[in-house]
Amino acid sequence: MAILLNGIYGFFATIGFGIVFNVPRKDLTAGGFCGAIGWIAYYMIFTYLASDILATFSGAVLVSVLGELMARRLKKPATLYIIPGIIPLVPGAHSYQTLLAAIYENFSQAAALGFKTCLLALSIASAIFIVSALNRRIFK
Amino acid sequence: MAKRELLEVAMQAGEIILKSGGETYRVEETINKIGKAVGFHDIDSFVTPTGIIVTAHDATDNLYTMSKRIHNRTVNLERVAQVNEISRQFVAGKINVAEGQTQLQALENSPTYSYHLKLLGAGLAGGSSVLLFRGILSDAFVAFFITIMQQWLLHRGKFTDSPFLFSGIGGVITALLALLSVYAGVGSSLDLIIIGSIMPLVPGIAITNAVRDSLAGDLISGIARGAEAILIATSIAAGIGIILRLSLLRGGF
Repeated sequence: MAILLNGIYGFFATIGFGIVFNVPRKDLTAGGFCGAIGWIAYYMIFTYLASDILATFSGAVLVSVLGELMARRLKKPATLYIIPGIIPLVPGAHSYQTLLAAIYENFSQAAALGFKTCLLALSIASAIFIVSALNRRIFK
Repeated sequence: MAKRELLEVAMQAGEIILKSGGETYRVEETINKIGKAVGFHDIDSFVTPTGIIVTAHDATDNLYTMSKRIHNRTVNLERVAQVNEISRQFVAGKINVAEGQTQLQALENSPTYSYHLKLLGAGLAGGSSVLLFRGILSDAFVAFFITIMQQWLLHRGKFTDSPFLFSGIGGVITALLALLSVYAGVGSSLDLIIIGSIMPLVPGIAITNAVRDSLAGDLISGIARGAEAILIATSIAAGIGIILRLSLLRGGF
């Protein structure tokens, strides 16, 4: 139940970001679907394996694979589906906690959280990059 | 058509993609493909987030070059897709240069969503983010309204020309509204409301594109986008930080 609910939250969050980023109307639901699946993967891995970096990376890989598949199907650039889809995975909460630690002058905690934030961002970007590089290699 | 105009079409296509938040390699590829399709012998483009330089040879070995300074970039994925489609049709020979040019020009002023719908979209994004971070439903509604207010005020105040001012003021507005909502007893978790509501401001795309550009070998673009993303994130943080720090002085949470 929690998994299904999270999929729904992910779906709506992705559609919201899709509108903010001007994704064409026809492609909003396809993007929302990518975002929902990616978020479910994140949620399950985070809950059962308790690793947020692995969870973020896997979520981003799923979003990218689905995005590339949809791009192939609908003949549109894959970014249309990937960009809104990965936004729920972006470490917004971590960057906020980094800031909060800095405000309370816990600088060592801020540094640790900041490093974690960077790693999470890196894992998202590298997931997208790896998938698109593989996609190019396999299909071209 | 003059060679210069042909080069201009390629440049315009690239410019629109870059201004709409497309990746560096996509801009370069589009310019090079269109350039080859209009008959240049050899074409090379150098793209960074703040400018484009294109140089092309024609069959008689004349050299044409053009540069374009890019001042502002937003995210408009539909435009990226549209230019992609035009360039694809153009390269396939389905439309000619003049048609391509008019289609590209028509793109520059065609809004995808109305202003109100965009506000609603931002609200949806902010509210759903609270739920994603395991917040409760009432906080999600609070974040929904705060995000809409925040975007409305930012556009009302015309902060859109400077991304750093936009983000900084955005942080201040968000933190203030979130504090108010908790004081008023409507919101319960200050942290989650703030995190959710700032999501539409967070430079997620900039960070992702920065790393992607770097991994793809577009090092200058990667570093430039990374610097932009860090500055934007710092601006948001500074905006929120000032307000939270002030609230701490008053007793805080």
